[in-house]
Amino acid sequence: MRQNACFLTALTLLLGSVSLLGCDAREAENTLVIWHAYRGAEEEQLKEVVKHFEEKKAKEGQPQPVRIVGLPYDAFANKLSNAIPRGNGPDLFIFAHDRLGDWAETDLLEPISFWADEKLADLYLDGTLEPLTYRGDLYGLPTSYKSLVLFYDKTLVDHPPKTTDEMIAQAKAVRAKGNDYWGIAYEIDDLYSHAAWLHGFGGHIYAPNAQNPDELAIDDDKVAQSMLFSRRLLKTEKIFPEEANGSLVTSLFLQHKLAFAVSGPWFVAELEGHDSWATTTMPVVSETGLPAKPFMGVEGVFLSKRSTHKRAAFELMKYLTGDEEAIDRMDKAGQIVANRSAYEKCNELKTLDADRKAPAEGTATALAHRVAASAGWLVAMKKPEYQRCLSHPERQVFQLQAAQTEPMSNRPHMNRVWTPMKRALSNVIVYGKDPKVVLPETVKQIQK
Amino acid sequence: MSQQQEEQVCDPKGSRHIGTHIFLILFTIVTLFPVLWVIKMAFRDNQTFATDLNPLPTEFSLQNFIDIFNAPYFGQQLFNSFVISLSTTIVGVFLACTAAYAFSRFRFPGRQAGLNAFLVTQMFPGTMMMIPLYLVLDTLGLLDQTLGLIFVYSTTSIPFCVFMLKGYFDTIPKDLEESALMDGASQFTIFWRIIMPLSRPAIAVTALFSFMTAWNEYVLAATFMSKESAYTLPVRLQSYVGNYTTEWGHFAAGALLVSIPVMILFFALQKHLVGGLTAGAVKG
Amino acid sequence: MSEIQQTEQRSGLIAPCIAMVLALIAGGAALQGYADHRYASVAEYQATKLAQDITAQANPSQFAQESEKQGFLVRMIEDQKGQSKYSFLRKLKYQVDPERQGKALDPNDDRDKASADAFLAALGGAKVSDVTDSKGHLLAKRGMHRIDDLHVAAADAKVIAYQAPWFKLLGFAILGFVLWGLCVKFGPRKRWPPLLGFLLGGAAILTPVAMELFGLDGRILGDWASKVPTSGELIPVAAALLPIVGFGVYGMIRRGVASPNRLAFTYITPAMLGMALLILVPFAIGVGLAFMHHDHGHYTFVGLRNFIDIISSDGTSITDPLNFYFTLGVTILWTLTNVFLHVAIGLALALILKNPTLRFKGVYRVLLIVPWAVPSYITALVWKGMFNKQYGLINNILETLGIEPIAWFGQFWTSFSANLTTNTWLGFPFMMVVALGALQSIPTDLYEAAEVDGANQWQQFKKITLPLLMPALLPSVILGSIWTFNMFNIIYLVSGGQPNGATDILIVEAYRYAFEQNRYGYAAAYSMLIFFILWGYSKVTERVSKAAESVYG
Repeated sequence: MRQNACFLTALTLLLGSVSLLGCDAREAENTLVIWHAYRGAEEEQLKEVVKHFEEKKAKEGQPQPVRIVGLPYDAFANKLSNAIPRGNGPDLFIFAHDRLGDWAETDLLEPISFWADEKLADLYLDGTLEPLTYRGDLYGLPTSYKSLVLFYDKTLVDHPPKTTDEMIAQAKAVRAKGNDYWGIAYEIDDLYSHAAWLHGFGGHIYAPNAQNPDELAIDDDKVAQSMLFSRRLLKTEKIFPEEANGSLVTSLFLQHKLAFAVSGPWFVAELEGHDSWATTTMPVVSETGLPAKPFMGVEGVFLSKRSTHKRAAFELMKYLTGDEEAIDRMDKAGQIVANRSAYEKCNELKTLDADRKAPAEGTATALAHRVAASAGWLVAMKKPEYQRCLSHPERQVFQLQAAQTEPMSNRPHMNRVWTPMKRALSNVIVYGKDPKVVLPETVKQIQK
Repeated sequence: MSQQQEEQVCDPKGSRHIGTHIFLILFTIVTLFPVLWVIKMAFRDNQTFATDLNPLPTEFSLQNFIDIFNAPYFGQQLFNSFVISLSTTIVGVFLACTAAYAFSRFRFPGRQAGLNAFLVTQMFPGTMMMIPLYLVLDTLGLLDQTLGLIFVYSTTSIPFCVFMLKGYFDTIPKDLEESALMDGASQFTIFWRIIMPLSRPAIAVTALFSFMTAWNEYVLAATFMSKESAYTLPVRLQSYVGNYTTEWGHFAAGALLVSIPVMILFFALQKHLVGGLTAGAVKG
Repeated sequence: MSEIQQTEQRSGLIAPCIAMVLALIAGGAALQGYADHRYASVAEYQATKLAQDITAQANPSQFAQESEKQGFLVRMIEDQKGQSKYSFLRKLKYQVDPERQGKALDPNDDRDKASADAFLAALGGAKVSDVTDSKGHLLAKRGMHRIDDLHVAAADAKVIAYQAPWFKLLGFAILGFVLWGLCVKFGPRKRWPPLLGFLLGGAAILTPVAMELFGLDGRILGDWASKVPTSGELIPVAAALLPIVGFGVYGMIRRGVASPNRLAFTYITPAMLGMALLILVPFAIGVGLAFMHHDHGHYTFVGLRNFIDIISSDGTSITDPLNFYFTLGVTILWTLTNVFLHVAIGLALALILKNPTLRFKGVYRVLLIVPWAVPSYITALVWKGMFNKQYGLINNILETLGIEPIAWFGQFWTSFSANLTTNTWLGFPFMMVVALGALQSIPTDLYEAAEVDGANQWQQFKKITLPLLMPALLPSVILGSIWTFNMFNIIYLVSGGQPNGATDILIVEAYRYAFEQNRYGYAAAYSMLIFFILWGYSKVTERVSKAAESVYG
């Protein structure tokens, strides 16, 4: 029995130490908590920006501590919807915008349109705020945005294609080089990638201007055409590797075995240390003359409904997305930031470059202007802030592409679209089923 | 008997072990084959997924491991994982032993219902339990607490442990206890001094199982813990998986690190697993 | 136990079960109706009050800060000029007279004042007005306060999402009824403890209904409505139910008079309590959810509609991969094949590796549990890579053997085999460890005797190993099959349901409904069906395990 008592004591001690483990030093009452799912450089940069914010507030005599919590991406959305209604959530969190409608409807978010004004709204690139609005209210401020662009291998493709026909011709030429050379690759049965063609063929996921905002426009000839286009890449032209996934695209592209890849800003990081690649905006679909418009995904800072420091949180929101840190976020973390000011220097350089190359009309003033522009350009080139524009030409492409995107729908029912659409895409593109049969079924599945 | 065994080693019949060895070596190679890619990714200095046919490491860089060790709170998270897993093992196995003993030795009203209840708990899909579990833990004030996770993990592992142990206890002859009871030993002494030592193989299995339940779990840990200093290692590991890209190098290196303690624990437990006093030996 | 007693017991259990289901449906519906009503009235009351407060406040900005701490958002607006190009900023800004456009606002200028007046009037005057969405639902109450001629302070008062307590109440009501059932079954002869349990459980459901009937809603509760703590509501309910727990336990102990029984209860109680709290309560909530329709955090009671929808399978044909019965068939096939392979491989290896004369057996054992030790997320994806048509090793081997490469995820059977291979690889080490442990329960002298009798290896296996292994191995086989039935991540990661969702099993479907589509009610109903199927299965295995138990008598 004594042994038994000893065992119980040991057990109690262990449990006691366990309960102590969870206890941390108490933090200040006004601490702001921010959740994110960033990794690597982006995480480091976020910490840096928040540190600057704290320093700034301390200097102003209003110390504002902030606690940053990194979460696994997988667990993020579920954790939010569990924690916020029970008051255990963060004040702010950073996430993609596509679940916004769901969050707003479940009352997880506080709208911020009341605080926002035109001056604030003008800080961000056109088109990056709209995805953060839902039912006429603004719910977040954009940190960065993501869209797909066309990556091409400069050793295989000499000039960026303007149209899909041109792209296919170039891809076929590369494919002809050998059995292990491929024309183009991305996740062919994923709606996120396919959306570019879907919109390029004039199709939509949700019917625009429909009476019922949730009316699907999937069962449509244009959508079917876009699917047949993808099938053509895979089956008819055979320029597309079967079962392509992200890993295959990366490894083919790094081995110079792939002419075109459709991918986003994250791909730039994977290509780090390799050159001979370039980006261009998505081509114009030859059949329709419309540009292929990929989905635009905006990453925003959102304010929790249950935050008890909303004013301070909003201030941090503004700082996180503001001018002060935009260039650093772009350079150090590689984000395609939504803040306009980050691009200003590069746009200046572009203007100077255009002036320099402008045809001189022979007049003395025009010539002088051109000389001045050239001189200005040469001086500017030496400055570090212009240098970075030249070393990252892809950022210009992302900025250009942003104007040719469709914002990913943030309505709550959008999450029902993905899986059925994936099945539809693989049924039509990979297994060769008739889209006229598949699409009505898909609509039925989504609306079930 | 031991003499007989020794003879077998020298015995020409022992040569059949060569066949066994060849089979085992081949089987082990096939088994370890997929893991080679994990090792390869762990020792590469990049973060892409290995898509080549050759599973053998082509470069040897420790960068991924260094990154993991240098990650903030790594030590704390490792410590958390150990404390949580070991506590789960102790609590789970202890509670399961007592319950299993009762189910095996006593015939009381509600016995079958109780056994069924343990089985039934395994039938409702775990993924669907997460949201209600969050509510329960929040109500109990155990969110963000190591204790909360231990509590959850122990109850998750108990049903299996009870069943495993009960099955094993059933095979231990009752006459041992009866004679001890006649000698004046209390029920508890019998349980603690006779049954427990005899069941070492089964306890080893349940201990390993309980440990693994806690050691590799990340969904619940990520949902219940909201401080990086309170995370467990699997949560850290899972955060290398992003929305668009995954840091495969880090993930693979972390996966290897996480599996090492399991192997060590198994190595330590396996002598109990097979070398324990067998029921037969006692009986005989 | 005599037969009469058994039937008595059985009928004693049926009544509480029926009561539980009825209570569940009635209570769910009543609570939902009550919560809906209360939500609306509390929100309206609080918003009105806050808006009134702000119009009366001398210093709105200070008021704003204080209200914020309570979770309200008070927004200040000041003068705004012109039309905004951002549609979401357009509201609540007043348009100045076109002639004054671009100039600084001047309190002495009548046109500016008129603009401000018009703005206020458009907002509904200096009083409290409603803010509604496009469908006319009340979103918030808005109060306005004129600071001076040109500046307007406005507050949109919108209560924090009111957490309807039905979730908890329902869970506890069900718990109450379960305990009541236990009381009836094991309680002391006296009738009053079970009766009390029934009354309290009923009260947990009837209170909100009564409050509804007598109009005790947010308006009458007044200021109290905002002070009702969400988790605090649980405490009285829990406290009320505690006596039942007490009586139940007391009853059980009383019934088990003999000391071994008391000891038995002491032994199982700690484990049972943990299980009850962490599994029974979530389970009860899950059961409740199965009768609900979920739409963005709002639950409505739909009775059996979810079940009917699933079972009728929307009229899809049985060959359709999205048909419930098709998926069920795949699930059963998946479970059978997996468990068979796990046990066969695990047992075979255990038999080989238990041989005491085999060298390096410890090394083999440790190496063979590697698949179990390494996190399956990455190894499952490595397997998926091995099955890839472009770079997969398996197709490469086929090619070297002169066989046409296969698109593994293109057809049902190949895709299924890919999943099966991966899961077999992941699962056999566990079965091997269990079998190693279980083999120790077989007395070695039996083999010696068999050897003396001249029995060969196969006969020994069939006559000694297999039957004697059953009691120790069977639990793991039963549990293993239940786990495999609900094995979610391997299929999700490896085949992802390809082709066309055909390789999805029930749990994957449930997961997709819950987490990809937020249809929690539907997913919960799916889980309930999974539960019933497994329950039926366990009834069958119960007989088998009883037979196994009797091996040792």
